[in-house]
Amino acid sequence: MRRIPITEVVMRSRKVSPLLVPILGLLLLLPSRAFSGGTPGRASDVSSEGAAETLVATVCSCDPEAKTMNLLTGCGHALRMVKISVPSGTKLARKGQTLRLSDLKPGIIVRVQFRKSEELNLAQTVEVQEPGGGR
Amino acid sequence: MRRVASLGVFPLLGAALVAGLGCARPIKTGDPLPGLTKQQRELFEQGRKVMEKQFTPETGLGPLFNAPGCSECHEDPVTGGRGDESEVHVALLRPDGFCDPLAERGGPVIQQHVTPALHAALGIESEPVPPEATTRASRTSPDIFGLGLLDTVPDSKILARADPEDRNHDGISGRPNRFTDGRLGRFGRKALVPTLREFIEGAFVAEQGITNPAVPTEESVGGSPLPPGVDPVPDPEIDQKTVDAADAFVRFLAPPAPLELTHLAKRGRVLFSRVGCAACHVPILKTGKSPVKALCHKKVAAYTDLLLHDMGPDLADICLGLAAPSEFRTEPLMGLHLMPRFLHDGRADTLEKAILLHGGEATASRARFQALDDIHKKALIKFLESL
Repeated sequence: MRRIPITEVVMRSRKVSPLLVPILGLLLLLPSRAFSGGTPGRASDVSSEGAAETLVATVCSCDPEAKTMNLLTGCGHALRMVKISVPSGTKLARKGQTLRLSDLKPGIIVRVQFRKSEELNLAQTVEVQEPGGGR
Repeated sequence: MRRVASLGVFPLLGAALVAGLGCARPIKTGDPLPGLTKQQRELFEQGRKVMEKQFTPETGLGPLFNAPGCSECHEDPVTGGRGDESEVHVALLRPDGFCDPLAERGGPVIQQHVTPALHAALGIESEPVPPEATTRASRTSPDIFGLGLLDTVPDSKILARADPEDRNHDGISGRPNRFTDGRLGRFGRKALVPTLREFIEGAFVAEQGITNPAVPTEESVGGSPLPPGVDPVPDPEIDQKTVDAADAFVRFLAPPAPLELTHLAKRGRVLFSRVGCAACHVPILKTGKSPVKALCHKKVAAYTDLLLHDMGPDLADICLGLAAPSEFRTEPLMGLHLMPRFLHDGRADTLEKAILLHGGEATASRARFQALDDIHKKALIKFLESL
């Protein structure tokens, strides 16, 4: 399978500096764009949080031996696969309970914090999510 | 003389009354929603130009694509209407029950055309269907009228109708689909996509091979990267302003006005509910809050619940997200009078055939329809033809 660098599926990736926080707060108080239709921020977006990035996506497959997982993400019907390396020591949890990589079955939704390192996307934390969030 | 003079007053009075009542011009198919601001109407018109633009490889088309422009497939009777094109979607339903849309192999949308440069490089006419695909689906191009209103229906209103365990024992068990991040889906024949904006952003890439700020990467060719030199335009190939205009056009397109009901069709409307069609084809949905006044707290005669329902094995094709092969989103019936063919793949050329092809959860309703005498069947069809 071709590994797709995370930069290829970045959707409006932004670096957030502490200075931006009050500015964003002010922007929240302003009226929305008239044509936006209330489109919410996407949970599936890859976004920067400091040096780390976050992705919420569906587990497509896990390989505990290779310590990797393939996550399904995308936009509309343009779906993409992202490969994440899960090194030993990565915190995997569901509602605070520790999990093993082999516990992440296909179809489970996870929120992954990761860092890019050369060609790898290195997971830092993996947390199982319940479906939901929206409008 | 006096009599003639007084007669002449009536048309004047009539005109004054009409003007005074603010008699609105009837909405024509392809019109924007009433009540848009001047700025919104201008954006709608800019969006129409984007929709009607024919892209070329030099302006971003391909290398893989289904059509060179939005209006190629959404064109009849006006821009935003249906098209006569069909496309191919694939999926792999794995033994563990997971639905794999084969994203890493070019799925789920398999593009039917390639640019001359890609043809020259690989010798292919279309994207190859991945050999792993266990199912393949044909999809017609529906109209896109009224989708802004559907986008504004709150999730809570949709979820309130879900009854996945059929706890009320009516045989109807609509359930929600979920996108890859868990959000409620509502757009597409399998209700995978949560928002209209994402549907449009994804369609630019999956249908036309046009990258944009939300999806800055091209589709792969069956999972293989594009050969060098076949995609000369730097990504993203269109800017945010262009996407916003296309979004505004689709969002602000009004639903087609239904035809006037004949006496027979009025009887059909009653039968529509009595037979059980309205259990899934819910006649009215209400939108929620929106910054766009024309979309805010409106009733839309959509005739859908935006949920998945089992339609039986005869209609089954691909899985997608949580949708099993036999599950489809209840197709909205607004604008039905403009459609020459019916169902997700256009296999029915009459409404009666379409009803008779309903299975699964619709089996009881179908049986009730079949039990009607001819005049009542005709009444129900007449009602559907008016939508």
